Amino acid sequence: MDITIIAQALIQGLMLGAIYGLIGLGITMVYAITGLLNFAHGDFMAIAMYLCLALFTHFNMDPYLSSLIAVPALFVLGLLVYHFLFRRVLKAELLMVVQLTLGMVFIIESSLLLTFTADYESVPNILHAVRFSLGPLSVSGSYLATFLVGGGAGAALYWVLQKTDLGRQIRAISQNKDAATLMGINTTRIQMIVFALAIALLGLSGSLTTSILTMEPYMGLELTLFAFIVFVMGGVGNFLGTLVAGYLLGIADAMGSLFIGGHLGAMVPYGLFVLLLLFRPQGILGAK
Amino acid sequence: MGENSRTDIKIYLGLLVLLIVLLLLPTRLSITWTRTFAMVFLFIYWASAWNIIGGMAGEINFLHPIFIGAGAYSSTVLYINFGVSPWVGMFLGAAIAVVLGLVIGWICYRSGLPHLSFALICLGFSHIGEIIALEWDLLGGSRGLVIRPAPGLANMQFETISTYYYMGLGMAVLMVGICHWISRNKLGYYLKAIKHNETASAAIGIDTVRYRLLALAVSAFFCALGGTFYAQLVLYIDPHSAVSITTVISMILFCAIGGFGTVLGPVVGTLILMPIGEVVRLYVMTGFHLIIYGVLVIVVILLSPHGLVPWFQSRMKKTQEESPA
Repeated sequence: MDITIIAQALIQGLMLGAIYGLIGLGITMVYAITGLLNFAHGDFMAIAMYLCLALFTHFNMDPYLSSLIAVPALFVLGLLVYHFLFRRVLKAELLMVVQLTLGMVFIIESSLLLTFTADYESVPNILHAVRFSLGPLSVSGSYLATFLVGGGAGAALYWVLQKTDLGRQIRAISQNKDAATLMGINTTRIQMIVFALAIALLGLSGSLTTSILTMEPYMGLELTLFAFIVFVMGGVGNFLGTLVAGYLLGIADAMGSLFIGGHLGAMVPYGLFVLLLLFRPQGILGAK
Repeated sequence: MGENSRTDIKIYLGLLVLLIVLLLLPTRLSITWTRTFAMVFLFIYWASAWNIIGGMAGEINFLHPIFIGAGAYSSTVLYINFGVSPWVGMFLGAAIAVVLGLVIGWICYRSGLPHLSFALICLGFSHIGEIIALEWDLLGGSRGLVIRPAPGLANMQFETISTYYYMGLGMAVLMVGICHWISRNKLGYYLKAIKHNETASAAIGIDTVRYRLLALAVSAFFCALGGTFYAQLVLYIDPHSAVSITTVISMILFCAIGGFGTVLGPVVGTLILMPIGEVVRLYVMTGFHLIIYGVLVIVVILLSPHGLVPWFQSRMKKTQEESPA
């Protein structure tokens, strides 16, 4: 097989990987400071993508422009969901929380199905037809934008977590919630903000990928699965690991569809995940 | 203890009345509703089977689409291609399900994966199972397999839908009985111990891997048999219906509403949710029933985090304490 094709797929994988990392980072942050596992995580990204679709069909709005609406809208949605639902189950059993979010999966997926039908959709954006080339390699503008913005957001968030007061507070809570509270950190507020921020990130990821990922009402669970895989692969609660795992998964995804293709190719990321867990259960960068 | 057993007697009497009503019901029901109830019983059966590993042992286990698929596809492929009776084929399906369950379970339990990783591996495997069903020509790919109607006991196909109804009812009663038996025996107590503290259970000498595998095998076995019943009831299977993650999520939701790990939880949850869902699906809008499921499960979890059966039990205990006889 031609080396250019492989390189091409590699680049595409890396670019999509930026988004997987970004989605996973949301899950990692939420888990680190609340211990919640949200199985409806990917469904919020689906909501964002369908929001872009609606804005496109009714107002002919470019998805990149829609992100200006989608991100704040999902931030508010995140605040509401956290305030009315998650806040109440913080101390409940893990299985119960999983249940609650699975209930949300049903609600969101069926609502999307009833509103938008089961048709496969995608929304083109302004950069979709533009191609950038470097020697024999060429990449679609929408992939490049996804990589730059998604990867940039991931890097920025990592910087926030490491270098700012908010980040220090988040890390303090993730290490020891009670001690953090005693140090005067408003744990409740930070938890709410972080949850909403994670959902808002999905607004960004959704708007970026409307031309790359095919939309269908049931896509959410698969996105959640990918996000969780990234989260576990990176070493549970490890922010840097999550980002690295995102890229790895993106590459595995691209290689799977290049070398095997079809449904079987789509198995490659799961296969990689299963193998990794068997031989390195603590994740790529997780401490033993 | 005396009061406890009196509560038990009341519950048993209630169940007996319910059973009699259900036995007489088909004479009054339309064909559509008889069929729906056959499906409700199947889900009681499945949810109870899930409850053994999921509720009693406290695992977030999503492997059941594989088990159901193994049962449905094995018996159907054998029947269509080789004319083997589903009564025989279903045991091959069950055997495959048990082997798959044991292999996946052994790999995961042995390495002591945390709950989330285990849940994800399960979801991953179920996804892979669905993909295999989609890709393997023998299994009909995305077009699925159609079973030609040929009523006859040997073909596990019946002229009247009420026969399916009674068969489903029988399976549900049997499964609830098995769950009751497990919950009162060593396996049930061990699973409870493992659920509450796996490390401590291992420390007092419970072979946790072995008992979790045992529970998983039992669960897989019965789920697969239910898969064959499903195929014979619908006479059509495809990857999206027979290896469906939505099905296992529904089962988990039913258990959650009724109460995880309780014997009657899956029964109560399914009996409440599925008929409501069916009314909504038939008279309001297809697809809307899942929204109702979702809303109900969230409401129940927020109001009574342990489900309806434990809530009801604590209520009964309270009223008894207030009026000692």
